[in-house]
This record gives sequence, C-alpha cells and structure tokens, in this order.
Amino acid sequence: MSLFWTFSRQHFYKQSAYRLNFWLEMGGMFLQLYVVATLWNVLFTQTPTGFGSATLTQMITYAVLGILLGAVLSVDEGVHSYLQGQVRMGLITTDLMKPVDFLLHMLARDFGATVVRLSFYLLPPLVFAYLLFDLVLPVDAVQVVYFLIAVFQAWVILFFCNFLFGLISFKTLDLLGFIFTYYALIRFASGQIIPLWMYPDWMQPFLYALPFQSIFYTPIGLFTGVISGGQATTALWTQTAWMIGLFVAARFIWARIHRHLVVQGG
Amino acid sequence: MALIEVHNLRKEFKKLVPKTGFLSGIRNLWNTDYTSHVAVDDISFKIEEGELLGYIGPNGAGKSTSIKMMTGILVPTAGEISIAGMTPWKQRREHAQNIGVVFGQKTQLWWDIPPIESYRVLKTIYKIPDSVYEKNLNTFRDLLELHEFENTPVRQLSLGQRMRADLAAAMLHDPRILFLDEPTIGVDVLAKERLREFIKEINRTRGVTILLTTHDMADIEKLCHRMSIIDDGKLLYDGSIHDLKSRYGTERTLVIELDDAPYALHIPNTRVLREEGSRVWIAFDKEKLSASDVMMKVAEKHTIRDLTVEEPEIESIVREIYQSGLDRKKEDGHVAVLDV
Repeated sequence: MSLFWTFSRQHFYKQSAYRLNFWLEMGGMFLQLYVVATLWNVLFTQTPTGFGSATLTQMITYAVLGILLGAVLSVDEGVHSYLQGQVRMGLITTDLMKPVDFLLHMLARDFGATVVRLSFYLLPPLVFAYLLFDLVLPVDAVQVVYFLIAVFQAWVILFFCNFLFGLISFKTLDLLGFIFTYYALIRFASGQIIPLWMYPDWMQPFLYALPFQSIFYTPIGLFTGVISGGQATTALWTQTAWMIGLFVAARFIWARIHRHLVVQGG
Repeated sequence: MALIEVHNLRKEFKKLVPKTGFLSGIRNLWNTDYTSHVAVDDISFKIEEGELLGYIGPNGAGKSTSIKMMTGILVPTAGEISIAGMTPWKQRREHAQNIGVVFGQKTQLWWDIPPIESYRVLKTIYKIPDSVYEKNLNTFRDLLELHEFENTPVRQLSLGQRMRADLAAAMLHDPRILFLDEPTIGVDVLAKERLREFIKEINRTRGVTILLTTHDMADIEKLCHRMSIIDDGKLLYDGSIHDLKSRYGTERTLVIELDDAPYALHIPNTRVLREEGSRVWIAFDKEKLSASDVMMKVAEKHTIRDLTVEEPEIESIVREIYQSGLDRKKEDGHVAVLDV
C-alpha cells in the first residue's frame, strides 16, 4: 500500500514541475465545459424532444461529467503511454529489474497519476461548472456512494484496458498506428461524449457488450440518475466482472509477453 | 560454489528481414520473413564473491544481452545461469533484491524530479529499512558528493552527476552484486576518476561483487584484476590482465634518443614506428629479439643518449583482438549485425 502513496507523492512533484502545462490544461477544460453546455442549449432549443426522456439539465450534467471524468480517467496519459515510452527508449529494463510484481508496480504508478489528476482536474472545474450551469445533483447518499464505487471500478477497468493496449508496443515497439483507433473506441463506445442511448438500436447491444461502457457511461449514468434502481446494482456488478476478467487477461497475456521479451536498445 | 555461474549460455533473436523494392513500405506490414541472429553463443564462466570483473567487447558483441540475462530481464534460448543459488528469470523478484544495476546509457531515476525523491520510491520498492537507508545515503553523500545536486531535477544534471546519482540508486538496498554497463560512458576525466574511486571503494569495503563493462581500458586497468573479452557472442578470453599482456602482447616498443639524426636503422625483425627529431620508436617482438639485441644494433652506428622500453597498452591488445574478429567476420562473408 505504501507503494501507492509513494507514487502519488512523486506525481504531485512531477505535476508541480510543469506549471504552465497545468494552467493550459485547466484553461482548455473550462473552454470545453463552456462549449458543450452551449451546444446542448442550442440543440435543446431546436428539438426539445429529440433526446429521449432526458432533460436539458441532465444532458448538460452528463456532458460536463464526461469531460471531467475524461480528464481524470485519461486516455492520453496512462500506463499505455508510459509503457510505449519506456519500450521505445529501452528503459523498460529499469522497471523489469524492480523486486515488485510488474502489474502491481504499474497499477501503483497509475494510481499516483490518477490521484493527482483527481485533485487538480476534477474538483476545481466541478465547482466552476456547478456555479455556472444548472446541474443535476445526486439526490441521496446511496447515489453518491454508488458513483464513487463506479469511478473507482472505472479507473481499474481503464487501467487494464490501457495496460493491454500498451502491451502492443512490446510487439511493435510503437503505438502510433493504433492510438487513434483506441481513442475513438474509448471516447465513443464508452459514452463519454455521446450517451449510449442515442446510438442506433442495432449498435447498442455491441456497445453494452464491450467493457468501455463501464468506464464512463456507468459512473455518469449513476450520477445523473439515468441509471437507477435495479439497473444501478447490475451496472456496478458488470463493472466488477469486467475488472476481474480484464485482470485475468492482463496477467495471462503479460506472462506470455514477458517470456518472449526483447528489450530494445544496446 | 561460485556466486555467479554461467553455463553454455545462448541467446538468439528473431529479426525481421525488411522487404525492398516495389511498395516495400506496404509489403512490410505483413512481412513475416525472420532470420535468427545469435547474440550470445555458448558462453560459460564463474565469478567468485567479491571479484571485480571487467567484461569487455566491441559494440554488438553480446555484452548487454548477457547482462540482461543475468539480471533476469531476458530469458536465454539455452543454457543456465545461477546467481547466489537462484535462476534470475525464474526467481526474478528475489533475485532483484540481490542485485544493483546501472545502465550507463539509461537512467532509473525519474526525469522530472530530484534524485532524492526517486530514492524515496526505491526505498519503498526495495523495502529498505529506515536505518539502512539513512546510513547508505549518508555514505554516498560523502563518497559521491550527492549533496551537491540531490535536490535538482534529474533532467538538469550533468551526465557525470546523473551517473553518480544512478550509482547511488543502484546501491541503496545493499545489493551483493552490482552490474555496471558502461558507467563511465561520456563522462569527463575528473568525474570518471570519482566514479572509479567509488566502485573500488564499495568493492573493497562492502565486498560487493562487480561486473563492469566499458570501452575505456583505463577503467579496466585501474579497477579489475580479471577480465573477459567477448566478441560475436563468444568468449575469447577470460583471465587476469597480466596473463593477457603476456599472451597477446608480445610486441614491445623501444624508445631511443640519439645524439645524431636517426638513419640506417634497418634491423631485421623490427620496424620503425615513428621518428621525431633525434628520437625514434622501434617495435620488436620480444619472443624473437630482446631489448638489448635491438639496443646493440643501434649502438653500432649511433650514440644512445637515453632509452625506455614501452609495454603494450591493454588498449592496443584489445584493439588487435577486436580487429582480428572483424577480419574473421569479413572473411566469413557475413555482416556485423547490430546489438539488440
């Protein structure tokens, strides 16, 4: 456990090393929040009934949370980009030489980075968004607890997805060709930008069968009340199942790759 | 049983043969023509506890590959390694506690934060007790003058400072064995001297077994008693530096200062290497001639003012060994393949 906190400490340090980067990213987030809120306002004034049973405030809340969670559960920066960087530079050797389990080591590292992003990129913009727009807030404590559990499980699922994706770089030494497909998959198939119920009927079974919906759609749905009652517990259990399934897959595939490992660079 | 035992170690890499010609870039996407490249070919040796072994070879000889197998990063194609009774790639985590590694061209420190913060991470990872951590850190502050830069982000350190920081990082958990892969690469003379002092010191006072690879023969001469030369994946020499000199370096150079200009110095079985004013360098094979033979021949025609005999530098011996390896490869008609 102390490993997790040590890594958080390092990431706070690292964050403070790039202050300009932080302010730019923060500015970018405020801009995004403003744009999605305006967008949904315009869409709703034109076709108020075109978006299912969802209300305007629900939609804005959904969009705002999509952006905020997107900043915390990042697809740009994660274990996959770390792996790719280390493999490309031939630095992965230094990680492989540590007397800790590799998967646990990577998880602790990602935890540190996520805690930092959580405290920097979630809370301030959330306050900003709350003051500026009408948001739907959870009505009872259970909903808040469900949401928090869902975010935690979403983090674990995204970590394993990123990890499995990052393993490609051990084979190809690069992720460039795949990264755009992966981005698109996560951003659209997870319901981060567009809620899943808006997709065509024939696509929905596929989207629900993938792990990605557990990453964004589940926590956002729980927060906004789109997912409630029996559906809520089902969604949480689905997440848990994905966590375990992806963990087993990651372990298995990593063990195989480790056996065939070739480290780049003299 | 020796601390490190390596038996018939072998490592092959698969290499993609790139397509050439029409639409080669596209055809490479589903190219599956592999060739096999042998990086380490049937190497065996033993290292006793407390030894400081110089492990040298030209670029691409298989040094790093064998170190990677000894540290448990790579799994050999065939052969066995036993280090402190363990097989590195099978007992990776227990083994990792026993060893420290510095790859001179890489760093295990975090790029954006000061070394001292990276040490904190290592302390957690290696489960180093507080007392040991403090004690070691203080020792290294003395020996490596860490205090000068321990609070500066790693990306702002000079190469020499970074190497010192990396050495300290590798030694924090009191490893029994230290693998140093080109620790003096790109480092200035003074910093090199300091690194060597440190390496010597920890070998002497802590009894740390050290395997050192380098391209700087001065490192070897100042630090090691024993050296192994590896080329093209094969072990060419394993023994003391003294033996190497007497076995391979039979050529001596006689430096003579004359009263007059050097002329008519054609002595059989010797060659004149260089002339500079009244000074002349004559090379001879000590198996065929003795220094006094050469001297006498010169004295027949000249008055000798001063003379010295130069032993071959280890560097020139090694150069010769590498060169003969290169020639052999050219003869066999295959091209030197890059190290992976």
